[in-house]
Amino acid sequence: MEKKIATKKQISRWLAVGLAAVMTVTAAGCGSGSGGSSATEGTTAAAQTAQTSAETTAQAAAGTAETAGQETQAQAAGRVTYEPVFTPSGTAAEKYTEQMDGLIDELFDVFEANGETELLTGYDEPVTVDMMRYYSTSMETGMAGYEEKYGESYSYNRWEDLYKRLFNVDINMSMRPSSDYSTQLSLDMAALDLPDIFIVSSQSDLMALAEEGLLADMSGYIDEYASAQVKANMASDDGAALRETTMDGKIFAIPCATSATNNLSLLWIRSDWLKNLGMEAPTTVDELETVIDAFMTKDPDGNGVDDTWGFAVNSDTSSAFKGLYAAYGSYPNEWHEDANGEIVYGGTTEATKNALAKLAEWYKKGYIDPEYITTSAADANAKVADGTAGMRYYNHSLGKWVETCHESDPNADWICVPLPSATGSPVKSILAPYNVGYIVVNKDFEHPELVFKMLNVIDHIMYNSADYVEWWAYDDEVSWNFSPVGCYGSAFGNLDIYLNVKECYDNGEDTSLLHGGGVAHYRMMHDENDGYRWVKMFGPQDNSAHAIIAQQKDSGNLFWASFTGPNTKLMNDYWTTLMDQKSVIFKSIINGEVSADEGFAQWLDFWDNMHGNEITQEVRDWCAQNAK
Amino acid sequence: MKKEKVVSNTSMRRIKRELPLHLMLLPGVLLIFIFHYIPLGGIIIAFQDFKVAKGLFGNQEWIGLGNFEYLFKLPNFPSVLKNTVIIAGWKVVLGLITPIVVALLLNEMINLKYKRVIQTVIYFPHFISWIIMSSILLNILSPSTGIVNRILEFIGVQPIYFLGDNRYFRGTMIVSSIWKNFGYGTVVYLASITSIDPELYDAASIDGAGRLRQLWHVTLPGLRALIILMMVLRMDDFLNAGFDQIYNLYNTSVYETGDIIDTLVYRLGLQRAMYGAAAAAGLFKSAISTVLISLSYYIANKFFDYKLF
Repeated sequence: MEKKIATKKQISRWLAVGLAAVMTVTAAGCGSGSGGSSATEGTTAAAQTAQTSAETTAQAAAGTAETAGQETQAQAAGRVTYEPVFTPSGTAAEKYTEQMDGLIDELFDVFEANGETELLTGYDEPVTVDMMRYYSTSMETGMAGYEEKYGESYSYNRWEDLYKRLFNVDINMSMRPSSDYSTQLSLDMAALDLPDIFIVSSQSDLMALAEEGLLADMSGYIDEYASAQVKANMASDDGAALRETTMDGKIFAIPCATSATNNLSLLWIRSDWLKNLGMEAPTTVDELETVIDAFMTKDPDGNGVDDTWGFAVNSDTSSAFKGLYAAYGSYPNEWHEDANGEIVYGGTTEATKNALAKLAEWYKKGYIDPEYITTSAADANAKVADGTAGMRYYNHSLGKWVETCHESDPNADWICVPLPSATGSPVKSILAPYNVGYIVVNKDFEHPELVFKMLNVIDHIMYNSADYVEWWAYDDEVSWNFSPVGCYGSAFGNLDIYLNVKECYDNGEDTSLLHGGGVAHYRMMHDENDGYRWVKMFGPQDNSAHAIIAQQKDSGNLFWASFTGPNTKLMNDYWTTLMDQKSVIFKSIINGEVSADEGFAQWLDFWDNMHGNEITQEVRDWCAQNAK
Repeated sequence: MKKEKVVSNTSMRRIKRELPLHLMLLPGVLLIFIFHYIPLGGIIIAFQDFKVAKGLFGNQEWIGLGNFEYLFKLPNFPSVLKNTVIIAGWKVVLGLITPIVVALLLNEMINLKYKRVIQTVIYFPHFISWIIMSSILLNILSPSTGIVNRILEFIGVQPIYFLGDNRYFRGTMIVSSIWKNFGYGTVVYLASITSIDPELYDAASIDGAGRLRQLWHVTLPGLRALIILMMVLRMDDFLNAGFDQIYNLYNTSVYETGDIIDTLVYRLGLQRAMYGAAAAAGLFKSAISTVLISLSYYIANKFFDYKLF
């Protein structure tokens, strides 16, 4: 009996010891898993896998060489492709194979026709490359579908397969969620453990890497390795996007440029309200005021309740009234040339003061919802959607909210109109490069030109291809987001899509004229669920968002910001403080706590004291050095 | 014979007996060591012109107190420090008093069911994160549509823009934070009150003590140790004005009264990658907290004979 009890005690004791041991192990595992060292371990493991897979591929390649007899025909035509290491599986595997083979044929056809065949040459020995990029949440749903249909995954999919077949490269892809990409990258940087080719999401991270000499200089590769299409896209913005990544004459990254027109502020307005009140679209700021007044007081929606606003406004007035600032020739967040051709900060110009005085007047008249201070941009967009606001300055993507408004009230009709002017001359809008990331190459990587080899292919798909753009780039609308190097888009890519679609409509909806993004957008406009928004944004009618942008461009009313370069030395120290103070003073001017003259003088004083003028000098020096 | 051997090995036996306990302690100690002691090494960043691409232990440039100098010379630093101390100070004081008062009041309740319901209801906001709470507050505090201002209007007060007006912003932060968190403290005090020996109350009432007297001479002294403990621990928060809350609720209109050290550091450090200055601000806060904690512990020890360690 006694013995039994002893055993029981012993058992429970050992149980406790065991439990403690397990807990220790788990804790230690957790520790290294969530600390900075995780990146190191993860990548080492990846590197090992890479090595193994490289060996396998080498064997496979050797195997292929022996049976190369079958390929002689293709090789004779200069079309060398390499053995794939991925076999599609899933419900639509045939489509995968068809699109893969078709695209490769088309690429050779087109590049041969352009005399660029050498850009499709692969490497004799397989090249292994560690790559890293971010993915957005929209890609997660896309990936679930691809996995089912084609057996693709984040680490191996159509893009990796394509580049393997074309160039004989084995990509070890590390995809990370975009939400904390920058933080993760900082940890990798601090651990001095970086992949061969990767995307950096912020300009400051890029410059931090470049300053320490960790990146390859890309300037020597553009001429030789970029295709005509990539070069055309690079030239579309007069080189503004590339200048963002230039330091001391060296190009440290290839920007993932997208349409710069995405940042343009357009005036969206309820045309049905204008019709109800018997009014025309405003062309001057004075007329605009009459419209605001009428929208607020004359019950434009005819429901007998005083529930409508002129403008939907959010707390960041420099974006919520970007079009109004521009009406006065003010660009409060950008560096641009003044009347004398000198580069100035838009937040300090006389024009900005005038625009602020107008906003203060509007605030006093009650045209601006006093609660704008705590209204987010999404809340303001919701006012567009729920039909309580009649106007909003916003970029073309307001189409989504406009559609919601139209769905709940079929009479509601939003259009874009040219920006009303305050000075009598047409309003000029400012353009700045719109980069969603920067592709960089580790200085130790032997084949920096690989970046261009990949970009050439995806730019062909996105801009020229008619038969392969849908599946490769717009499959579930997100498939180009898997591209390991993103895409070098044209600054007017979206505008070109509009022009392409318009050309198709002008020729009696001749869909054979469509190419690149035009193919996908034509289809989306005919979608029965959300075709409306695409028509509002890209439609051929002359009040769609891009019709207005086209007008602005044709009449020479778009110009480029002077400075979009990296932070200058003094900016690093003082810019946050300056911008804090700027927004505080601007807000007190608008709210009428201080007059425009007095408040603006205070702001300029502060600008002087906090080295604003020296920063201007730094910016001018940078521009002089990096001029085209 | 056998027995003798056991006696001679008492200390060995003790270790053997307590070995499981030590092993069970080990995971916790390891966790604290890994996550709280090793990162202390990062303090060096506060004295460097830290460039992340040089690597954590790379060849960083040492600039002495340069980061602190930069921070203290920022034109808005004095107002930021003032805001931090005012907001955090009131939160500490009210955060200490409110739960005690509420716990004492609840304790006097006769209807137990009602007491439990209230206890749960006031505890509930504690579990809602600030990111959700901030949108709730934005709605209920809105001057035009919020319920708070509808009530104020009903009793004849002009609508107040709680989150957009410098006169009200700090107060709103303090009150909403107390409202969100006092339930937690209340539950702790209530639990402690139930552990007071009921004989003490009986004895007091025989001596003729009324409700208030009992409260003063029995309940409060019974809670003394806990109150002092809570006070000492809360000193840690003296410069923590609540980043989660303020970051989600402030806006440029109320920078003057609402910007605190943490939000400033966030704008400097994470948005502009000034790790050195951010680390310096963090170190500054920790240093002040350490002094305050030590001081309050010393006072507690000296005047209330309270020992934590």
